[in-house]
Amino acid sequence: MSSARTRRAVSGLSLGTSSVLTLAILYIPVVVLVIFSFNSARTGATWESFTFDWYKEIPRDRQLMRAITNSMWIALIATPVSTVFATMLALGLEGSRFRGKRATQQVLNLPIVAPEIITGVSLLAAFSLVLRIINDVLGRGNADAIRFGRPTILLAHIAFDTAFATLIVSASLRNLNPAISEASLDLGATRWQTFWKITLPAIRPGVLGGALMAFTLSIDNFVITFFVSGPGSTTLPIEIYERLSRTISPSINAVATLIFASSVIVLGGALMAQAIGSRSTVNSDGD
Amino acid sequence: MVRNFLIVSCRANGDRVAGQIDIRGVTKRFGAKTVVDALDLQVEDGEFLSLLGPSGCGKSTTLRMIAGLEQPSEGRVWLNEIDITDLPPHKRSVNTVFQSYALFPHLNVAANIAYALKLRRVDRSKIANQVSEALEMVQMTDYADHTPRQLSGGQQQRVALARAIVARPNVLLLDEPLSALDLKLRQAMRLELKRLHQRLGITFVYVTHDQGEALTMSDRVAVMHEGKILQLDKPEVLYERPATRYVASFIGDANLMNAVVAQVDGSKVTLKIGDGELSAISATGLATGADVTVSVRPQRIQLLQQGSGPAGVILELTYLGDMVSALVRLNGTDQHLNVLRLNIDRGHPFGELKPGDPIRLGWDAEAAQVLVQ
Amino acid sequence: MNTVEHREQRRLFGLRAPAVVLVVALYLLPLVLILAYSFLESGRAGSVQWVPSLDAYRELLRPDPRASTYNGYVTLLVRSSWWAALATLVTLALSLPLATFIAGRRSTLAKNALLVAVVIPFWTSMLVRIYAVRFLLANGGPVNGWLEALGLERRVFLNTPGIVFAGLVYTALPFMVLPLYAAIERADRNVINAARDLGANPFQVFFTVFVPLVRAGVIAGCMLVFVLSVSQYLVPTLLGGGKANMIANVIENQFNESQNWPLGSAISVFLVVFSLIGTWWSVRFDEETN
Repeated sequence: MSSARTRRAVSGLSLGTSSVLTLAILYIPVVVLVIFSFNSARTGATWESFTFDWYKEIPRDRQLMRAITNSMWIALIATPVSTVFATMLALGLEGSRFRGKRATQQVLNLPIVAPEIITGVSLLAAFSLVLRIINDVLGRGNADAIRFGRPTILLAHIAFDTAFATLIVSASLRNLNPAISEASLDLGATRWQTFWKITLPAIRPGVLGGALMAFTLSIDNFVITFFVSGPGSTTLPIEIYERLSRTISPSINAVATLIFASSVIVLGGALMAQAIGSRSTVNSDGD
Repeated sequence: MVRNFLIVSCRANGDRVAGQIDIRGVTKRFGAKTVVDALDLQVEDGEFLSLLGPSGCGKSTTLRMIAGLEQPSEGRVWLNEIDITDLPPHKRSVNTVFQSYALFPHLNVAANIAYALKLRRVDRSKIANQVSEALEMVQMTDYADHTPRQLSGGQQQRVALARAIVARPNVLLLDEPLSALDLKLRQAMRLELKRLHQRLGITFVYVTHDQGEALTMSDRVAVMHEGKILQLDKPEVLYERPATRYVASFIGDANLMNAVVAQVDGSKVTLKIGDGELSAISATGLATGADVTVSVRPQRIQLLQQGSGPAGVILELTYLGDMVSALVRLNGTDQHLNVLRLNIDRGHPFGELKPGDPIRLGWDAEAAQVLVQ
Repeated sequence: MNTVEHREQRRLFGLRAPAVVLVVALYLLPLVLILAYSFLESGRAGSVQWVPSLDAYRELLRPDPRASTYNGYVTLLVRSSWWAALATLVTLALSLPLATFIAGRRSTLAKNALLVAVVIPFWTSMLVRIYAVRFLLANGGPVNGWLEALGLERRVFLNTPGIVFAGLVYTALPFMVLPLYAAIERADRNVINAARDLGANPFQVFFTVFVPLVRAGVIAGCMLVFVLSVSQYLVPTLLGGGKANMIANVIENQFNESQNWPLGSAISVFLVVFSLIGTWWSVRFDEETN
């Protein structure tokens, strides 16, 4: 029947068109940004010529480099710490029954469901209060008071990184046959040995995925970091945001492009690692 | 890090380690549910003992308590007269073959098998020897380099077996290891397991819901139901002399009939069944006039033209390939009996009999068992 | 429970402890603090005075004739929720075809390529993505430059409620497509095929079979997107330029510039309540239409 076939063709066509439209909406702004980051003109209205100048400016921009350093410092500490906490949490949750498990899981969901603005201001309030008490106790006045800075940012990041990473590690752990760790114990390994020799290698993709998520969340985070940072602890997103309120220098386009490129690369690396990882084994000599 | 390893490894005669298990008054509760109920069980050194029962009867839980993967709510577990109840599984010289095989996915076959030896800090060269010996015992020598993912179910199960026996535990526990395999493979594996048991000489405790497996492989079988052992005996005894209705119907097919005790002569009793009388064996003392249940296997019932036994009528004859089955109704009741004959000779196993014919039942006294409940 | 089981429970507890302590200390307790602050008086140099007061809530509920950018906090809250709800629906309308399209691809390569294409914006920093829109539509940006080149007049795109709304949808898209895709992928094809087999036309199949199967995923996606949109800070700030503020802007203002922490806390409490209502309503809707 041709009407049924035309109906199906039309619906297929509209589905495809609408999908292309959605993807276009998703990509056009960033793609345009990337292209214009190589534009030598100062405004985005016209295209002058292709140049790397804006990129070359980045290393010379001391403030920007400081922001990048801060972001990296925080991310490189928050990632391993939160991954360890997340793995421990996943091990302690999966397959264990205890009173108050549901309540605990609700609480652990807070960092994921709570709006960032709320988290930001509540941490601002909480850290202010705590720091005031600490400064009073230590007798530090205005000059040498402990202020907001990298440590406060770090704490906040570790908290939400752990919550998100736990999702990924837990998923990996859930896929694992629980009999496997039982078999290890049964054959003579302690819990600790079982974890290192059997559980961890088996959930390694999940742990790496969790670490990756933690790192990315840390590097990219704006709203929460905005509220818990202090002078001298500006991170990259905050630095970009603050420059946006002044005149837009085209080097921002270069920085933004680099951030975009790095997330694509990291994502690509993660996908490749996952593909490779699902085919690896260890023989009896390697351990 | 010095760790004392292997506890409980008493050397009995020469190299072989003994594996005598004593379960005393063990109860296991999960919340409000009692899964194992005041269990007493003694497994003799070197025997092949099966725990047989339907899902939920507590057999797997019992096995896990021997392994140390579950703790009894009450009671103690002894191995070679040492109380191991509070020992964690890694300190017990008891190894398990799991139902899901549970091979370590990131290690190849040889590494899986070598795992227990590596933990015991066995010499590298000795490990290689013992691993190949174990592989040879389960006929998987060519698969040393394979990963679990590349193996079929039957192959994985054999590796799991090799992995569990390589360190020569006192006891080997097997939790329904054949349940995921197809029929032909299961039958082949039964023989291999039996052979392995004879070759190794260590105690096997085997959990299954398949009575065929239990009966063919075991030295003794414990029939379990709702956390208790109903009967623990050699396979022949369980089959010929089931103690209860449940055991009678769980093991093989049983015809259960209501009867009244007419006469008692030692262990042989004469029973009034329907409108006739036949004899049976009773394990316990009975009083005349007592109401009992008698159990007879389908292939032991004779269908006669006349005799002292109760009257009945043939309802159906069904051709089953290797056997023919006759469905018989006992006159005056709606009790149906199943009678089986092997299809050996040419001609009908039941002779001239056809549906609708009246018959009289008959059997040898020692083929009939009076049941306790 | 005997000693071995006790030891095991303690070990598991110890494993959970650090993360739980962390989250309780940095999420749960601060939230309680904010709730408390909303019932206190504002301090002079920022922060609060530990004096109970309902001033913050009175201020919140009072229409404010002096403010030029918004008339009353409640109106703003309602407007933000309304925008967020609409944005959720538009996002759903755009995401559903894409998710269905991806799930319908027969070639695994095409499916994976499309999924990667959706995941990339998901991973990309929200700041970069929103800035890209701002750059694109700025007065001196590529779109205006392109319009000029065509001989048309430059148009003002930014700093309007319209662009903020569009920004909400743009930001939310990746967060809706992925849960939708997961739900569609998980839907049992056999049921759909059975319906077609029994003679249902495409519309009937869609509404009576497909929609119920993926409803859970749709609800989850909508909940996520609604909360994300109603509490958006970057979109109204970077694209709205103060002319189309949402709740998050006001909260930030009270904590930073205006230094009225109790008021900021009160508004935050309302935001949390609104989010909870939104999620509760969508769960209720799911149960009612069951």
